[in-house]
Amino acid sequence: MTAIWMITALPFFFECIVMYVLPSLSRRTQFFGVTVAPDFRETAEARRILRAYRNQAVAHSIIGFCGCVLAVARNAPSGLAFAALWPGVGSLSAIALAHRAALRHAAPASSVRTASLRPRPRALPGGPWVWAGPFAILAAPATYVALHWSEIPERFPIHWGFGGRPNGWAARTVGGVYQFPAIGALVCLLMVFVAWQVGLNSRGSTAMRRQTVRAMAALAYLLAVLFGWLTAALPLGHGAPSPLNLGIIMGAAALLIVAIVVFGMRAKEEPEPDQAPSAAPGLVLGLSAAPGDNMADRYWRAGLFYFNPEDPVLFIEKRIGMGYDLNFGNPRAWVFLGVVLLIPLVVMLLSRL
Amino acid sequence: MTAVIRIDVASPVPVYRQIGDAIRALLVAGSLKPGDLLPPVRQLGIDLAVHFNTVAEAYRSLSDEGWLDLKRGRGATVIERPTPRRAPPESERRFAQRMRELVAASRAEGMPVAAIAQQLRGMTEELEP
Repeated sequence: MTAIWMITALPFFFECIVMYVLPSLSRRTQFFGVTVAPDFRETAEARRILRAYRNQAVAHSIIGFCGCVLAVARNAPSGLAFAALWPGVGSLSAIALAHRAALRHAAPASSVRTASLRPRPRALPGGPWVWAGPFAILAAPATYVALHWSEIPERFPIHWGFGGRPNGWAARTVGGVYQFPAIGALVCLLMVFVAWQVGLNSRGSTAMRRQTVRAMAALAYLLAVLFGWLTAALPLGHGAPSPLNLGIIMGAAALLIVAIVVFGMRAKEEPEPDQAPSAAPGLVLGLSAAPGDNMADRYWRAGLFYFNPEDPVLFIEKRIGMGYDLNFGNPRAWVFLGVVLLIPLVVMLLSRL
Repeated sequence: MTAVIRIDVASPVPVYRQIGDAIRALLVAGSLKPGDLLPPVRQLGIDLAVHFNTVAEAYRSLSDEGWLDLKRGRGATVIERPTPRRAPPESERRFAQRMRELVAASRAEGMPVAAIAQQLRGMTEELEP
């Protein structure tokens, strides 16, 4: 039981660390999504804003964990979901507050924009074989299960309650057995699409683009292994949760996040291939300003959401943290979001087949 | 090929002209050579955060001048462009007029005569084969 509690606390602890260091994963000229003078971070006001944000982030993680403990003690699954969401939503609201405070110290945005005339490759980086890998990983256990179809019971557990007792079942039908590889394939397809669009339809540094595409590939492989394992284990009765199973999944996810952060930080330090390194870089960790991110702060709602209908870009490099944000002023961003939200609906439909 | 263009969206000069002028400067300087591929209109529009039509307009004007071959969906290719043997007198008059206006504007902004002369000398040297 102690191991289960430790594993339950791990995501909250990990999220707390991520949220704590998040403001440091920005360019020096951007503070909580606001364009500031390069030396602003050293001022007493900047330190005060940062301290207030971090206190709130830690408090939200503690509240989330306590809520989780209470929900488990009272056997309330909806309370558990609420508690799990609390730290994330709370930290985002803390960022919004810090953004508002930082806006009082905003520096004017530059009106100068630069672009390389080097055409980007249109194909997916790494070639089709790299991106076919996750689908092959999913296909292998699906084939194994097909070969052992007669060994699958009429009804098998796919969900477990707090006490470790099964409370969700699937039948030995095509929909019931193959829902896991189908969901995995859908999610991997989404990763492929994001990697392809980030390559073609994004603005930011070349190194960050390359790093994001690699992160998408790594995530697709990790999810393929996870769903592949579920495909083989659940119908054949080996999928019951154990501290070891959960520990491996969380450990792999944590490793991937750490790798994304480390490689992302390195990517931010790389100068653009076509441009000389900035003489006055401005940065946390010695980074130069993100190419193409000298847009006015008013387009960055709460420092987190980019909304600029006049900008044709779909993905733009984040101002806080690693990776890309959607341009919510672009109608295609809403189509993309709609497709992403359709995935849980497809999952529900598949499980009912 | 390593070529970067720069525009100023606060400038009174229309963006499509700034893009065209910047690419033309690279073509004249030889930074872009025949056979080089320019990015598709969508890519350059995304990188400069301007509408695709703005970039398309700039590419069209360069194509009309004989610098680019435009292919739908595949961007633009730099082509061999024979230098006109002698510019028409009208062209020289227009150049002198624009230069006078530019020098006057720079002087009005406080730029010293020596700096203007140095810039002009540098540009002339870059153009010499």
